[in-house]
Amino acid sequence: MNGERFPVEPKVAEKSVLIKNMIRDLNPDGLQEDFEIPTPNVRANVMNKVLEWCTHHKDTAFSEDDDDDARRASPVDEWDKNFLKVDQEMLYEIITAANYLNIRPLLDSGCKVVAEMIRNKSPVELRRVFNIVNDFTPEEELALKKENEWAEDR
Amino acid sequence: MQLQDLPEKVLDNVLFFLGQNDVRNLALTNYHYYRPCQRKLYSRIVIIEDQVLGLSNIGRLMDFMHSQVTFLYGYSLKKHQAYSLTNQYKLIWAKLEALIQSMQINIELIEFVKEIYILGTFNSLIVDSLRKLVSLIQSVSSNKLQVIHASSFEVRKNLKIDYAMLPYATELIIDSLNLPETSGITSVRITRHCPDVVGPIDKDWLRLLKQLSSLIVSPTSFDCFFIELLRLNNGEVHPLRFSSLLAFRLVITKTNLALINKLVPLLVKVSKLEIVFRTANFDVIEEAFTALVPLEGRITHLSIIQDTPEFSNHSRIETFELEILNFIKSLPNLKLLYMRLWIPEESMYRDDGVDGNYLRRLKFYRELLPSGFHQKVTLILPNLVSSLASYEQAMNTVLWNGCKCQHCLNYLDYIDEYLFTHQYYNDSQDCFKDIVSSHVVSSIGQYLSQRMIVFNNPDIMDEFEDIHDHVSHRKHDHYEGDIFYDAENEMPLRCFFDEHVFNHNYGICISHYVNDLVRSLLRLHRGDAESRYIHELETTDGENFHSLKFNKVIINGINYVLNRELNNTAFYVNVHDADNI
Repeated sequence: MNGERFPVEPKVAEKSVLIKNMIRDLNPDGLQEDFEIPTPNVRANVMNKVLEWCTHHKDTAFSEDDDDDARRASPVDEWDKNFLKVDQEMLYEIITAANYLNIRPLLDSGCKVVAEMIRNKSPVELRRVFNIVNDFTPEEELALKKENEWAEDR
Repeated sequence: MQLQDLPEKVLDNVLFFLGQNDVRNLALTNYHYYRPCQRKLYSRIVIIEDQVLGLSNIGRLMDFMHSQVTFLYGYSLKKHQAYSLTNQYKLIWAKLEALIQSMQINIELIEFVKEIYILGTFNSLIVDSLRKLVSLIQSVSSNKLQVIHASSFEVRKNLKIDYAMLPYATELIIDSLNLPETSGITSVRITRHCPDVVGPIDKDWLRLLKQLSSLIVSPTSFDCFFIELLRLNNGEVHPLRFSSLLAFRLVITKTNLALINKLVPLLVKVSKLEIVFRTANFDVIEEAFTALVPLEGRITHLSIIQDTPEFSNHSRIETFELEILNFIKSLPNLKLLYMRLWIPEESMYRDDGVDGNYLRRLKFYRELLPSGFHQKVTLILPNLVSSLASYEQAMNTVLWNGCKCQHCLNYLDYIDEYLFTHQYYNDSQDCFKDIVSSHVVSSIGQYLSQRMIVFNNPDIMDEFEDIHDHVSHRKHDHYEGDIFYDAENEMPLRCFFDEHVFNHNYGICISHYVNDLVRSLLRLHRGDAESRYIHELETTDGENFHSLKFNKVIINGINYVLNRELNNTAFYVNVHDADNI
């Protein structure tokens, strides 16, 4: 994190299950005074964004035991969608940070945004948008198309 | 950092929200994505006659419900496309053969398949292919198939499932009381085809019960099965036997209160409960709810099923709905409510309905029901439209003075014309009768239900078994050409409506009717945006606009996406309709 410090109130930090557990483990009797939590895997500018999200949602009650269908049932929250209007590199870093810090709602919002970027695009368009190099031979590509033909929407 | 730099677990999480077409396309971009995409595409396959709703692209408004399964179906139902069951079956068969071929060429694909749902009866050619598919999977010892679920008894019989060859199987569908040799089963469904228990139940059942997380017994077998089960242990079943059970179906009849009183204390962990009401005797229903008090704090998913013609009566259905409301009020952790109502014969209540009955029913769903929820819920009403359709006067109003959009102006007129020129044959009275608005709206409503499979809690809902069969039957009654006759002709003439066009476009009209209901349910009256009453715009904490009481609303298969604008204004979108505007 380049030695930078991000002072936040516990309520904000505890949006991260990783940090919440860390606080609980290190302070079994409750938080008495400030202390630092190192997050070496997250760059400072990314941490800044993640904390912005945590601050906005500090009073949002997310269900911790949503099943798969409940996660799929809702579109991306409009505020999250606006918040995640960043360049692709930053988006992936936020998602990776959310995964590392165990912030499920942010991880899901980020993954939904990426899913929406993928949605309704042909393989050629996907390669262009996501800078993907085609490493299939034409024969392999044809075989793969045929392999999944049964799942095609006609 | 690029997309392909995401850790595998995160990429899987992205794929979790992708529909089948998108997964297929991503698999074709680069070998890096091929395996994760195939794993997702093949993991949960649903074989179904018609395309389901929800595959459309409506941009930001879209939810991700379509990503839960990979559908194998016939032609997609787009406007004006020629549709016939024969063509659908031909394409389904061809697709099944293609799937089998893919798996034969690339055996790794078989290992990706975890669940297969076969919804429908299909023809013998398709059933042969399905048997070939099951046989192929069973022949690969490393298969990971957990669920093979066929809704039709006939199809099930022909699949020749050998659980000994499915080491990862977790669900058993039982049509006879003989348990197959298998371990690892956590979910059991005893179907209505299973013969009644007449003697002691095999003690293997006790071993199995210890490990079950879901036990669904057909309403017709419920009493016999559990009475024998309790008898096995001198009338007592040690709580340990149900210690893992999370999902359970309870069947309430006029005479089984004593059984329910014995069973409920044993359901020590059940949080997903389906209650099937086979009686409309309110003394019994009240006592049953009293017996359920110990479960109230745990119930997160509740499924209510009316399963008796006793509910073909205005006052009973209204009283029942109020009883349900009282019960729901006592469930602080409820997250999902599913209510399937009894649809009276020919979609008409026995007693004469008046506008007041219809309006009271509407008031219940618009105002009373939401008041019973303690937190946001998912509300699924698979046949509410068909139930409300039973009020003929109200349906006439919908047809004549309903939605004024251009689409409805066109197509509601056609329905009106249709009613004037068509009759149907009434089996019980052995005569032709006029088709009325109730019949048409009810049938369209049921057709819509059929087009959306709700997987929210397949553990507790037997919709594949019951609803699907029922809907297919209704559809046949009202839409097939050999049922309809022109009133002025002696010779039976095929209906001039193309069934598919009829279904699709009229479905949209009915979805507009449901929009009105949802608008009230969500209290969105001003431009579909906010509550009509200023005092309702604030909750007790004074911070938020009127709080949405719903995560998701699905009425007759019409999927509503709910969200808030940046300014916190709530809005909804009818996904079914959005495909067509």
